[in-house]
Amino acid sequence: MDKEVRTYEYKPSKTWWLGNRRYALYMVRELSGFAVALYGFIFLAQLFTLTQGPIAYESLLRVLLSPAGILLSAILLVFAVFHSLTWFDLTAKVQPPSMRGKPVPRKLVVTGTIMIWLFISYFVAVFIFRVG
Amino acid sequence: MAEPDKLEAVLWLTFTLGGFIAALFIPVIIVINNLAPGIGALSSGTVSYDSMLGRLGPLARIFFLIVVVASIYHGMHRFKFILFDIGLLRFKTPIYVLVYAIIVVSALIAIYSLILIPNP
Repeated sequence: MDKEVRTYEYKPSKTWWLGNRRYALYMVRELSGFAVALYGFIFLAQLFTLTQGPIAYESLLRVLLSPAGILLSAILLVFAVFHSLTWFDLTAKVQPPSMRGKPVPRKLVVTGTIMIWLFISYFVAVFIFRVG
Repeated sequence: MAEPDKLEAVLWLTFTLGGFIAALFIPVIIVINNLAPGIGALSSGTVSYDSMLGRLGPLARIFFLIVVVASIYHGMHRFKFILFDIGLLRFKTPIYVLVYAIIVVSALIAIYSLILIPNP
């Protein structure tokens, strides 16, 4: 005879993440990933309007460089930097490198990664965007 | 013992790669492409139509394609879990379909755009 299998269904409240600072930070970190995607869509729109000619591109650019557009960029930048820092920190935790059989201190790994990140950012600014 | 889900493994691996690419490149692109010209730290001519065409050589097109698709993939993958975390797990299948449809359509638009952007 078949027996009915009853499984426990966990139903957290929609605001469970507001009850604890660590949970709230977790949610902000997840949101920073979404902010990165949001900027991906904005940049994609810029690339698409380049195919539509200068009038379409300049129209979008006017919106992006308006006060509201600048505010949005500033907010997205804060989230993007938060995403970068937490991502580098997470990577150092998940896959800690070792040297001569000894683990490299996490602070050193994160600092090194940030230095490499700044160098790459400079490289992108100078060689891709040709600034300076 | 349950078989490991290979598709799920590929999705997570791509997510990790996307996270790294987004972490390394998105902040500097926001600064140079939007914020600095917006607040006057760089001339708005830096991002004019002609300037953008001028910097979009073949390598830059491939670079921007990878950055845009990786960022959208990474962010949407996480957004899916935000939706689950706020109690929408019962809509798992439609959320999966919607999220990956957005990623695929975005990738196609990016490929289309970067092929069709005229040469300077």
